Amino acid sequence: MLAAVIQFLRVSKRFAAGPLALDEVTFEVGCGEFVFLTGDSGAGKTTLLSLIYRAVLPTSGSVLVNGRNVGSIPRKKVPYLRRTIGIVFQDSRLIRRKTVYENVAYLPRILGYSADRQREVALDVLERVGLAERASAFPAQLSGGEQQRVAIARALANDPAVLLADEPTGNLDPDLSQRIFRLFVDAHRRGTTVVVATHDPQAISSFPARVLRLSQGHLVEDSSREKTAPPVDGVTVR
Amino acid sequence: MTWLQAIAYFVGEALLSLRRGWRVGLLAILTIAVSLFLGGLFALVSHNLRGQLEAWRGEARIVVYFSADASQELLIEARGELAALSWVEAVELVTLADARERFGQAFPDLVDVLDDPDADPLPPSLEVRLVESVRVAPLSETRHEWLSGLDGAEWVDDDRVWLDRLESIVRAGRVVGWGLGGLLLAAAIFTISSVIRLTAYRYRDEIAVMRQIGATELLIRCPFYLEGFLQGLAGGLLAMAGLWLVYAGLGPDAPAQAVREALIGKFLPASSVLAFLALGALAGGVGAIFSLRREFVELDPGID
Repeated sequence: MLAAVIQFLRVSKRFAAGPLALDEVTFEVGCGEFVFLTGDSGAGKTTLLSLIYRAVLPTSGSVLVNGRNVGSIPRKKVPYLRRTIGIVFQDSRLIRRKTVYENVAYLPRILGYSADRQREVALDVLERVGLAERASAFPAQLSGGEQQRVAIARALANDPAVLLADEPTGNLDPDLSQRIFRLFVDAHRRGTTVVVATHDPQAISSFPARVLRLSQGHLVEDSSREKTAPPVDGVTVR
Repeated sequence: MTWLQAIAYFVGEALLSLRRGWRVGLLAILTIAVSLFLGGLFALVSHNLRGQLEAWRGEARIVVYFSADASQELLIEARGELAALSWVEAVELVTLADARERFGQAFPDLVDVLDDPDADPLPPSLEVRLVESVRVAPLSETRHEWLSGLDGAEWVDDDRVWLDRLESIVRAGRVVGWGLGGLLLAAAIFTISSVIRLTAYRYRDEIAVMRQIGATELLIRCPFYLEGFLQGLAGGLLAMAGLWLVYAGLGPDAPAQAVREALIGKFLPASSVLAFLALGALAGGVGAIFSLRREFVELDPGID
């Protein structure tokens, strides 16, 4: 069994007076795993991801990242947790007034990297997502797929232990989606634990990985049994 | 991130934001400039009037007027009595002839008025200069009565009585000025606060993203604080520049020189100019802090 990077222990979440968004959810994600989180809209996928990087707090239960209870992290320390987690959103959420390069170099910059190191890191990840030549463009000058690749580059800039993606291909056509998913596979190949929320069945079937299925806040399926998946780009995805 | 890197980051982000939103920023700068200019104008006039009053008070005299038929001997005797007093520094006798001569020098066109045999506008007098220790406050009642009781004395005129009245008016004007300046400064803080809040709202999504990828509150907020501070400082600089232009523009060639000298004869001292700049910067910074206190709440429930 791989050491757990993410642990959910009977986690429930209720927003205001609404129904439970998550109900007693328990699972673990091991170091270096690739996990698809799936389920219909409103199943609780986004809530689950938000709990990992503490965008929201659980109503009950515990969320542990690298063995640390996320809910007990002091407010001022939350940014330090987030720096260990790369996050990709459906709408890319790039900083519009910054160039592609500045978006990607933002985290290295606030981490105090030297200008040379910022440049090295940013250009390296931009190279990986195939956008090094667009480094000086602004987000508005990019296509949706390119914006999403920049968002992935930004998420990978700090070489995070965990990469979370929330419906990263929701706005993209199938070809672009496949390309984006290959970037996650590439990150996974380099040792990053990847959790991708999606309800795209084609992606799930194309990139075999562990699947966690949510339905109305309940974890109804966990395909965490050992299996050998077909190779993707020559790499076996567990 | 070292402090030096952090400061470079804050300054870079604040300047970038000011450059991007210069139109809105200009509104905040002008508002604070107007309020500080008016406050500065009041301070300038008040500063000069205070100096002028002090100068006048230093030269203030008590004049004891005698009846027109008072003899020279009587006047000399009174002068001797006065000169012997411990609180009197000097006494000058102004005879009818002296008074006429002074009047003629001051108002050459009106000298004919004095030829009217029925008129008696310039009685002889004794001008009393007091020692420094008693020069500030008006004459006590006892001393006033003593002077009025001198043989042949008709009335006693104490310059410091009208100087006190004038000082009260200046003081009231200063209070009104500070009140008005305070109101305008509050308006400026409100404007800067609104501008910063608007900016923060405009970049709300970006701020949320910055938080999500691990920027600390300090890294997010400080550029906004610095932006407000710089807006306030710019407003202060503009106000002081405007004040200097008024001061320099109404130069020695300006009409009504006596009035100009009394009101804006000297520019504000450097300490006051620095205080106004600091006030502007402080107002800008406070405005930014107030605006972000409210704006940032609920953006990220995970950290509250």
